[in-house]
Amino acid sequence: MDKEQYLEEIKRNVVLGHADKEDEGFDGDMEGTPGVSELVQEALDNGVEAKLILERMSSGMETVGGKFESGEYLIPDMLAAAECVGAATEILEPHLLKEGVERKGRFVMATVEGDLHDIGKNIVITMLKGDGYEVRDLGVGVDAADIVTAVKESGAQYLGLSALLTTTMVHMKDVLDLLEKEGLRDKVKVLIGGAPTSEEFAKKIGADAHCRDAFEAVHVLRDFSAKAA
Amino acid sequence: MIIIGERVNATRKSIRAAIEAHDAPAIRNEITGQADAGADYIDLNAGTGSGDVEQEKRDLCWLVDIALDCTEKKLVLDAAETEVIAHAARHLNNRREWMLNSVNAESEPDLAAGLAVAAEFKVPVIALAMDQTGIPDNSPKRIEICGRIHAAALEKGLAEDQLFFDPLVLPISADVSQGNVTFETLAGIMKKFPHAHTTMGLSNVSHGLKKRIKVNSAFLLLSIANGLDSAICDPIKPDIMQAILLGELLTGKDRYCRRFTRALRKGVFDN
Ligand code: B12
Repeated sequence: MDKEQYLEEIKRNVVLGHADKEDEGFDGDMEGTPGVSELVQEALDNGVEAKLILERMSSGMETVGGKFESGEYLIPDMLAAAECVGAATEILEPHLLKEGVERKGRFVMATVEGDLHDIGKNIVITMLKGDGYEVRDLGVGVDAADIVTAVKESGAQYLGLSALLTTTMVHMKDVLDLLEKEGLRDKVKVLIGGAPTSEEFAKKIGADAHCRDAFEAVHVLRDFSAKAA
Repeated sequence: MIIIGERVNATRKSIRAAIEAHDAPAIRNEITGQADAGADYIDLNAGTGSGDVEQEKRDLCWLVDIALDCTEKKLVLDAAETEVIAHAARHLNNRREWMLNSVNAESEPDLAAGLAVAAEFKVPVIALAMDQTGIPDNSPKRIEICGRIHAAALEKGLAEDQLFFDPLVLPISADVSQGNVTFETLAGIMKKFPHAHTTMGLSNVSHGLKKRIKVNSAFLLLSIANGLDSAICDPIKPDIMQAILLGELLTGKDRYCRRFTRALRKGVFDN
């Protein structure tokens, strides 16, 4: 395979959620054929740049996003694809460092105080890692002070807040207020998400963006960096 | 889930008629229909009930030839008499992977003969949890019988993973505790013999009731939750395939819910 064929094959396997040769893939007929992990390793061995692989995988996730939005893919399909990218990213990591490619940015992510829901947050994290961000996960039920400390310490450019309960989404405002008070508000973009949150709510509490799902998060971040550039 | 398609069984009127009339296309339809619906093995039973063992041998070989010709699926040679199975096995001569259906502990010589055939051809064997006293009404006795068959099989050189224990089920209409007896037997077998398989027919459970397919498929679902990893069933019936898909989905045997979502796309859940 030449370089372009490797990249397209990697993308195709990402879209079909085909992690490795033990996996059956979306259509159930791929067991025994090389999956994303094997292909990525092989591509690297044949001199394909890690950066190009990462980009092509992101374009694969773009396709997956489209399929999810159209209803062709369900959550587990999206997870399978995201996990392929997550595993491949680990293989790529040392090569990216060698190529001197910067991660797209540092992200801090938490489910807010009083809230223990983390399935959605974890999907977002997997997707962001897959898209090339470095993510620090603070876990669930994190209070405003701890979140702000983590932002300060890590120098993160992005903060993600998740809440699934109408009773806990109010704590997102606490975090924004504290960021303001600590003089950090303009250093970090704040994204919020979770079923009860909305565009209006984001505006009301002064967050930078509301995301319906993990794909919107990726898009929003792209817009941010386009504007910054 | 290892699905054994049960439809080619001469106890069914249409199959008996097809065998007697040597209607090969009818048999072929039954076989390919089950193969397309997702069967892993095709059960072949030519016991028309005539009592003529020589006739049954010829009929079973005839079924084997049709199957070899029309499907790539593995086969199950199914007969009450070991000599019928042995005859068909020699005819088949391992040209296709197959399984022996069945042995039980009713008589020691019969058990030994059945296991010897399985060992000779190195094939898996279905073992019923019954002995000379019949089908015990409680799970400890059934598990104990499985233990005896297990010992005899290993002695003949079979491996534990070649054993498909059938915990058996008695009609729920006569004794409502029988569902639990089967579930406890399943769980007990899987615990005691972790490499062995379990399989069973479903229809006995609903004998004497109505809406039997609903009862059978719910029973199948609960059995999967208790460790059942194979079933002798009709894969053409949507309720059955739905129960299998849902059972595996809900017990974590369907990575990324893929078999379930593929079935959704194929319309398996549309009715
Ligand atoms: C699973 C679940 C639980 C699990 C959580 C397990 C876990 N590890 O997360 C358990 C059983 C523990 C649970 C407990 C409770 N739950 Co609950 N739970 C749910 C349920 C069924 C699904 C949530 C989920 O995982 N969805 C799937 C994910 C993929 O979607 P998502 O979370 O929305 O995330 C996506 C987007 O929102 C977005 N996103 C999410 N976060 C973020 C963050 C950022 C930064 C970005 C960019 C995007 C983003 O991207 C994600 C991926 O696409 C919802 C029902 C529902 N319809 O949401 C109820 C629900 C949220 N729970 C509810 C309730 C009431 C509770 C309990 C109070 C129940 C009780 N009485 O004990 C407790 C509270 C526990 C607590 N303190 O948090 C209610 C909330 C009602 C309300 N008005 O507030 C809901 C809506 C159910 C209902 N209809 O009543 N729950």
